[in-house]
Amino acid sequence: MLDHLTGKGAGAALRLAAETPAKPAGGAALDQILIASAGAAVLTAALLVLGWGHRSGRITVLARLARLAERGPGRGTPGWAALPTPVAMLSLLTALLGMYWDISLHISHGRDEGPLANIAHYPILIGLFGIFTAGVLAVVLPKGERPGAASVRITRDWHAPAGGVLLAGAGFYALLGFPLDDVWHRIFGQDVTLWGPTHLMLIGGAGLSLVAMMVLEREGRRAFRGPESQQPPGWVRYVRRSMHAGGLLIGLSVFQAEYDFGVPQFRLVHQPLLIALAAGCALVAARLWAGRGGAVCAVAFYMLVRGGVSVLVGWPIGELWASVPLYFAEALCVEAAALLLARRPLALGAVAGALIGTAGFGAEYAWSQVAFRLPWTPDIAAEGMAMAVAGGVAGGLCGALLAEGLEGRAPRPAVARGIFAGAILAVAAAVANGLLITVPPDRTATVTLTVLQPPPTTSQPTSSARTAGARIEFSPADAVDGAAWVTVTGWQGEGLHVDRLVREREGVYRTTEPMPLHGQWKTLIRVHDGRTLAGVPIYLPADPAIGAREVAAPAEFTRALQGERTILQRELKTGVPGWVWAACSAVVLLCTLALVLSLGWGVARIARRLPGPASSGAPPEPGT
Amino acid sequence: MSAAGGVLAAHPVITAVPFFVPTFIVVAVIAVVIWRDRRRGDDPADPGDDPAEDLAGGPAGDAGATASDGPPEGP
Repeated sequence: MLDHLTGKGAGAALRLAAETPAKPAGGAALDQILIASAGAAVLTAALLVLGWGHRSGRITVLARLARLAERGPGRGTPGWAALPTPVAMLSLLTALLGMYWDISLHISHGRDEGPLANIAHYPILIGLFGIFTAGVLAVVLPKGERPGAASVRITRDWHAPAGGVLLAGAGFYALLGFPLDDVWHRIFGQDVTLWGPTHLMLIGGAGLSLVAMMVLEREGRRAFRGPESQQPPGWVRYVRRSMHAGGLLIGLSVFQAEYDFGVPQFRLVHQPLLIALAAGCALVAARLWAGRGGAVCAVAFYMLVRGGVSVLVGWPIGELWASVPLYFAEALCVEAAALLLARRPLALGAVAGALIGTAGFGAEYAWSQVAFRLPWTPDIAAEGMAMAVAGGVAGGLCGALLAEGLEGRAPRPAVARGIFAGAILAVAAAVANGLLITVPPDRTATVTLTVLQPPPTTSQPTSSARTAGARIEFSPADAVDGAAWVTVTGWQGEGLHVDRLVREREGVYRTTEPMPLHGQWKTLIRVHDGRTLAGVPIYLPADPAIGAREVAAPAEFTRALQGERTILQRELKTGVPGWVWAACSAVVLLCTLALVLSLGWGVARIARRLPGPASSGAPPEPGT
Repeated sequence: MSAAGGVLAAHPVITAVPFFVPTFIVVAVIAVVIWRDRRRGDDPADPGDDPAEDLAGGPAGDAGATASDGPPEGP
């Protein structure tokens, strides 16, 4: 935690700011743009040529690769499902690593100077393009055959599996986040938070692509016409399905990343909601789709991948550590509920979701005390549990619908649609509840710096490595009481500093370790209590690029409690009309609804058109 | 916003080009293929997209059963 105290002087942003008047916008990165554009052009050309060559029969590379995949990891599915699946899996892993690396860089170094100025953007870009490519492969590969009854017509003699179309759509949606993110930054300034609408597109498209992969697996299994000897043994199918569900758990958990790192910019009650939602959906689906123990296996896969990413980012790359939730408790909730309700999927979804929201919440509460930089406190216990129950039940029901669709059974369309819409609405309401925050007026904090390093008597009062402890007195004294967190948080100074303050008496707190007050560090007091989410700046550097002045930290000062957004996201422009924000958010929301509803459409489609068990020879069950 | 802000505080659209244009090109090519196929007209395949027909038609290889749902991607 003390590594940040080795200050390294002014950051790149300031250096660039000194040079910028001589350079036109974007000029600095022109060579990088050319290199990246050339790389992208090669990728595009390769995809188009291979796809055209395959469909016209002139190039057989794709066909041969697909046959190879049929014999390897994708055993028991035709090439158009066997080849895209590992491509998508590798791409998702690449994107996930890039995402956590990128977030870690932003927390410790602040905003980017452009999309190419940050090395972690490359794995994200390659990963998202890989997901899209996997979808396009699944669309292009089927030739001279109709890939199952759920396939989508492209032309009169070209049908594509619905899962492939959805996979390409999810990748497209994610990549659409890049230009929209750009437009967003133009209009509103950069939003240095994960939960910017366009950032959610980037990660949501990748996370939800797992549903498309599950649909593709189902279509592939049903369309497989190979000999019995090529059918995979049961355990291969079990592991594959558990991995898919574990992947979905990872995908749904990416929204928690700010909480994993310990710098959430939203209320803490979101965290139990998101954990329960992800666990409910992915683990109920895992248990129903893979079978007994599937939920535990899915969490094991989650821990392997997500834990692996945390280790990679934290150690070889040398960035920040991201904690993981303890999903094993939730998996046991699902497995326990399934002992009684495995044959009643919707009831299982609801009951397992409720268990996740209560027992699972309790386990996560205990786990947060040791695992997270910001542990849960009694302040969020009641509301957090209510949020977790809402998320768990909504997620559990969606997971049950998903698993039922993948098994070729689905409740009546009206029931399925009602449950799906109800779950979306419930989650939307819970998220909206979490977003309602207040900043109480007329509250101040008086900060007295202690143990200043170097001492103020030295000749350089603003040394390059100035640190200090602090005693903080809130006024009125009962302004902060039983809070969810009272911290001193410093970030973007080439490190992260989160110090939970120690309460000395009512309204008086002190730090436990020196905080950084130099260079590019942005250091502030953060207070979160009920719906209150506020901050007091202690030290903020001058930022000429956005016209922000330095906020200095004298030995003693009194400042008002204020909204955190203006401190944590100084890059945001002020004075943008509210309707512009509403309109832009509506565009992003529409794109998101289009993706979520498309995935629901895909699951309903395979449930309807591919009824019955997965083995291809079995007669279909009578339709509903 | 000043010129300095243009470089620092906003992503210039041009630098995002390699991030999304390839995808758009591929989607556009597929869209053109679909458009040309639809324009050829006199489609022998049945226009009615009746799910029940597909169920009756067996799991695969049934030329008569087609799905005309468009690719549901993006806006």
